[in-house]
Amino acid sequence: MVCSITPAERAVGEGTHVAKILITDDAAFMRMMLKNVLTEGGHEIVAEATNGREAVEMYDAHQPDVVILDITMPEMDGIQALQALKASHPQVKVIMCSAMGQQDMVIKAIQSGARSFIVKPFQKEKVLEEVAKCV
Amino acid sequence: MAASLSSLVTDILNASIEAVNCVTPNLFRPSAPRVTTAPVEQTELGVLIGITGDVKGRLFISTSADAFAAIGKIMYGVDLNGEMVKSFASEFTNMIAGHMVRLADGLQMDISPPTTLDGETKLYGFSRAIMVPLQSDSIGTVNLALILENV
Repeated sequence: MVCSITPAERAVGEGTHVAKILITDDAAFMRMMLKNVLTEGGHEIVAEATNGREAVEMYDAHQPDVVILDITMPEMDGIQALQALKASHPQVKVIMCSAMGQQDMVIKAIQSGARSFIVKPFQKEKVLEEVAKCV
Repeated sequence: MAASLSSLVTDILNASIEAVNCVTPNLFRPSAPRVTTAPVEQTELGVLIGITGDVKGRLFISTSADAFAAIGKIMYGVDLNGEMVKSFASEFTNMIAGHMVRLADGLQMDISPPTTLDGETKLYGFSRAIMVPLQSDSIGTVNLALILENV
């Protein structure tokens, strides 16, 4: 019998779906940390964006399963990017990951279509849990 | 009027200190705040974040690159150097500013993306700043400055 499980799926374990993820954050450090957490969790990082405008462009090019968006970014912030993505791709699954965790910001993000909101500094387990809910 | 302005500054200051403890629990002890009209000095690495909304001004955090790297190691368990230390410094200050905005009860504020300042420099162009040295046995001193306009 031929085993059809990919190495990534094997790393994650039975019953866990591997996600293709687009990471968006203007801080290289934060992109690195998210990439480490997500790849250790068995997921695939298909692209990294440094602002909302790049995220919108990269979504079309890479068609990720999940988009992780920071909020405070130059050129186009995360809320604007979320709204732009939702307008063109209503099915897009977005997780906000930001230090801007005040109640009205969280509400705005969820009302704009985000699946969830992770406040920085994040717990690794929380990031993986929220990605798992999306796939 | 003077009493209400002082109350506003106190609220922001308390929110800033509480934010530091949210981001790095039990790592720092704030020293007594002091007001200065002199330029705010930086000796090595600092990050500036603009504050807008009900309160306008800037949050500035500065220390050595080694201190920022040590904070990153404590928070994330990673060794940082070079450009990644600067990026972490930027993100660390961003987190403090973001939490400060959340914790400043009753105030509507927003923050700008961070600006990193590398090397010896001085900040001018303000009437006064509130300096809060943050002390840590394992890190040393991290300088937090609140530069608020018209308060």
